[in-house]
Amino acid sequence: MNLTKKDKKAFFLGAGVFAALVLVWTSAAWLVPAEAFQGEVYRILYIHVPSASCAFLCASLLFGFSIASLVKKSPQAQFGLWARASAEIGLFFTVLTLATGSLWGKPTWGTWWTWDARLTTTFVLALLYGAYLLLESSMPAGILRQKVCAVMGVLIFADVPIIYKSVTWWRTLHQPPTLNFAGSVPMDGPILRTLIFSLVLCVASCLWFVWQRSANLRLRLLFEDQSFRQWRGV
Amino acid sequence: MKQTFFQQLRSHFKHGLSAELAEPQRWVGSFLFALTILFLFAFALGDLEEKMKVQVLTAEFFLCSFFVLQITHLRIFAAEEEDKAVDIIQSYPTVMSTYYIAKVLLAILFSALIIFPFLGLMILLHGFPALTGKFALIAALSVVSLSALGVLLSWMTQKAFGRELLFPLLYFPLAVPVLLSAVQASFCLWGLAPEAMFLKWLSLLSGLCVIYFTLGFLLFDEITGWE
Amino acid sequence: MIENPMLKVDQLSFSFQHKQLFESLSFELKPGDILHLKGPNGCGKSTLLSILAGLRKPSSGQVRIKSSAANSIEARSFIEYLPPEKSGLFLKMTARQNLSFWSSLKDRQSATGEIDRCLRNWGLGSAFIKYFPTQRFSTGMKRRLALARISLSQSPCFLLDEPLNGLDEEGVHLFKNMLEQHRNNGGSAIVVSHESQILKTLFTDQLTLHL
Repeated sequence: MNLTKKDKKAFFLGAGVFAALVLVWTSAAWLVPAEAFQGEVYRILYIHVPSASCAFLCASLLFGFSIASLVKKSPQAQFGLWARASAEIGLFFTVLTLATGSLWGKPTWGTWWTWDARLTTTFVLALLYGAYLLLESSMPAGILRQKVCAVMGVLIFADVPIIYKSVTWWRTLHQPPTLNFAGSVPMDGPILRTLIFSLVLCVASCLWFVWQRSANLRLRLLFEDQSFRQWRGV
Repeated sequence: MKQTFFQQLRSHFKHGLSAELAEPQRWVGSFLFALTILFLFAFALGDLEEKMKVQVLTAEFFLCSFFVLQITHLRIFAAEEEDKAVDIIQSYPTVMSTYYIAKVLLAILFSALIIFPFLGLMILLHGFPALTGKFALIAALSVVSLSALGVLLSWMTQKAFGRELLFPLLYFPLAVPVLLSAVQASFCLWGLAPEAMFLKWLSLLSGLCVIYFTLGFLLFDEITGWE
Repeated sequence: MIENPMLKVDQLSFSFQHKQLFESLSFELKPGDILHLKGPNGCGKSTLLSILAGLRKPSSGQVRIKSSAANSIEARSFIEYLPPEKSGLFLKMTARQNLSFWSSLKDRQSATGEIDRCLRNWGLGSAFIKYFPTQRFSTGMKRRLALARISLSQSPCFLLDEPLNGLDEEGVHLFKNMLEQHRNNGGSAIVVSHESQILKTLFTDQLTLHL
């Protein structure tokens, strides 16, 4: 298989990030002590919290690429591809957040699901990502689709602050934010360190996914264009 | 003499009003649909226990409003779409934001004409204790947010395949914060949620009103014009 | 190069879903020019007209109408566009309401008398036509009303896609008179039509697109 320098770079970068992530999760599963009140079940926190962060990070990326798409109007629709990749990866992480949240919720709260404000609005974010992807595939390719999806990306981002603030605005079943920048963090050293490593590596893997997925989408477009030209004998 | 912003807005609003009044069956149909949902809820739920009544009726009112407004907002540009008048509008020297504002004002006007009589019926038939200024304010803010959102999404989905299915899938998630805050603010009025939270819910609802209207106003120009 | 052209197209290209419709197209239209745009089905005539009307963005190149970019508000005040097949009417409204709205969006507020006169000139002066919604009109009557909208506006540049669609002999005759008067008044037009024989005497130039 002939790989270009860029492909090799992407491969080794991705492999490095995932290897580090596997190491951190392994240490989270076996080496870090159990939590005093929740016991072993708390360990899902190391996937749940980073996934939630990545889900919201993707909404920010979607917003950024949507604004760039509206402002720049590039003919190759580059920013549209980045935005779509962000939405797909965002959907993946949102579903992962909800699934891991349910697995955590059952032993902790006694229920797989409750219509708590934060859970509900995270579910809404998943619906929004799904709606974005559906909108994108329902429209014929062209500048109008780019613009309409960019506007949708901006609307989705308008929903994100509501989700983020929900825990502080409303009394809910969900615990307050684990990590905040004002005041102390209610966590012991090893747990906090492992969580932060997990968060950083998860974010890195999320960015890698978005990068690779957008490259994938671009390749698909080029391939379709080449196939068509070949068919037409151009 | 070039038309000013307000002159264009007035042209669009005046003409839009005539176009809506020329097709009253659309809005009357929406009101009848709201009544149908009201009856369906009544049959499905039967006689409600007193302590549950207000909670259920509040949810019923906002849900009915949501479904009815979703259908009516989907068709807000129906008059322009029938014979491609929408293309002519875009080829005219018109500031598209004026068109958006005019459509939102029309959507608010006709949505209010459906929702408030519907609310009156709920008060009469179910004894819903909603005859208060605060509840009217909550209902009005909900109508404004949903109208601003509905008009924008209706325009966005004009060229999409399977629009009738796609529109609710876009509308619902974006309308959920509006519905959540409207219902919770109402619960504060009936003592079902802490009274101190009423202003927070109301400011969230007002905030969503401002956000959706402002985004619609700023972004409408981007999704018109060049295809 | 023409000084102060009405419309200037410079290196215009357009491709859509892997199909290149036209490439590096350049031409100019001066006041008094009536350009016949022709070509086989699917060659991009309607697409070109919609680009000139500012409804679509070209892949590359520029369109300027009296020195303003095609999709600017200034440029749009100089043109009148007629889409193919549909006539751009509000079907639940009367002919008079339609014309009144369209003229209110341009620089001019046409008085009711002027609108009635215009309708009569296009053979649409009867009470039935004035007071009933246009959805009851035949295809030819809708087309006449669309052409009435265009003639009422007095814009200097017309972009007409299949204007003769559905028109009877009298309608064609009225259209020819309108176009001739427009040309004599220094206006210009681009007309897409498969019926070149009928309008042959009016065209000053022609442009053929190929597949």
